Amino acid sequence: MYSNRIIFGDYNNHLISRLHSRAIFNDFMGKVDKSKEVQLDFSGVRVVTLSFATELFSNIEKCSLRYTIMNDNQFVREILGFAVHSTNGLHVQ
Amino acid sequence: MVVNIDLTRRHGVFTIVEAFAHYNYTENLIVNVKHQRGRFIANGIYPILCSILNEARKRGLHVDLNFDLPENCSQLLYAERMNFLQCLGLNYFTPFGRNSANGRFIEITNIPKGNYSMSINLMEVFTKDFDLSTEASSDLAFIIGEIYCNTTIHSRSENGCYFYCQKYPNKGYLEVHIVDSGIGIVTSMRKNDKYSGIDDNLLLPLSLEFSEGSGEGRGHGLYFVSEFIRRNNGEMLYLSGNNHIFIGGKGDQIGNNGNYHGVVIKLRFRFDVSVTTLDLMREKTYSNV
Repeated sequence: MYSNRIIFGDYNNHLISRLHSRAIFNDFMGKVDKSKEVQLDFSGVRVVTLSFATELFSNIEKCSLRYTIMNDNQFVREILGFAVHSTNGLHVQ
Repeated sequence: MVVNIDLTRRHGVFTIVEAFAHYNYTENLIVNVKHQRGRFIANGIYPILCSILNEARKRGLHVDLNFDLPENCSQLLYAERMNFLQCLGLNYFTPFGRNSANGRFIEITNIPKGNYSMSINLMEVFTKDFDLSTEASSDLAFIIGEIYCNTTIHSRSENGCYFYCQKYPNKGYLEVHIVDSGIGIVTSMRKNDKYSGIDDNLLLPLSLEFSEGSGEGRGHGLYFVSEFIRRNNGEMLYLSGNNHIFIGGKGDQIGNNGNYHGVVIKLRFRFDVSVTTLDLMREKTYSNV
C-alpha cells in the first residue's frame, strides 16, 4: 500500500546537506508508486538549503516523477521554488 | 614539527594560518601556545587550531599540545567557556564554573565527516536564545547550511568541520566561524576540467560567482552567501590554500597568505539590516516563484 506522500519533517526540520537529499530521495523511491503523483510534504521544515533542494529536484527530474509540494513556510516555499526553476533551466542571469 | 604560537602579542586568524603553513599532515606535531593574563584574545584562532590539531589526530598522527596555564587568565577562561579547550583535549580548571551561554554564543561544535546535518537546532537557537527575527534566523541558518554543505561535499576532511558562533548584541552583529582542514576549495575546483589553466588566485574569487564550482553542485550556495554578506553590510573572510578574500566595507580585497590545507570562513552578519536571501533569489528569477 503506497501513501505517495513524503514527509520531510520526519527526516529533519533543517534540510541542509546535498548528501542528505540524495539519501532521502533514494529512501522514498523505494516507498512510492512512481506512476502516480508524489506529494512532497515540507510541513514543519524550518530551513532548506538550495544545495538540498536542487539535488532533490534534479533527481526527481531524472526519474520524471510528477509531484506537488505541500508546506506552510514562506522561506522554504521560495527556496524550493527557486530550485525548481533552476532545475528547469529558467535562470539565465 | 614544532609550532610555537605566542598569544601575548598581537594575533589573529593569520597567526595560526602562518604558523602551520608548512605543515602537510605527514608529521607528528608539538604545539606550544603562550597566553597572557588580562590580554584580549582573537576568538577566530581557536576554531582553526581545533580543526588542524584534531585533523592530525584523526589521521593517526600524534599531537602534543603544551599550553602555559597562568591562573585566572582571561584568555583561557574565555577559551574554556567556549569549549575550545575541551575540543583541543585540554582540561583547564576554572574557579567560577561555566557560565550559561545566555543567548550570546554557540560553543565550538565538531560536525563529523559524513553527517547529514548539524546537531544544533539553529532556528531554535537564533529565534529563542539569540532573539533574532524569523527572517534573520532563516537567512543565517540558510547561510550556515550552505557553507556546511560545501564542506561535507568538497573538503574530504577526515574530521569534518568546526562551527562556532558568537553574538555581539551591542554592536548589532554576530560572527560565525566554519573551518575545515580538508583539501581546500582550489583543489576541489581543479577536479572540474573547465578550470584547468586558471591560476589559483583567480579560482578562489571565481568560486563565489553564480553557477561556478567543482561541478558536484550547482554553484549557487557560496554565491548567495557572499552576495548576502555584501548587501548585509557584513564581512566575510574566505581563506583557502595560499589566498584569501575579504568582503567588507571597502569592497572585496584579495590577498596572499601561507598555505592553509582546508577552508576558513569567518562571517560577520548584521542582524539589524533588512536584506534577505529571498530578495536575492527573487532578483535572480525571471518568473515569480
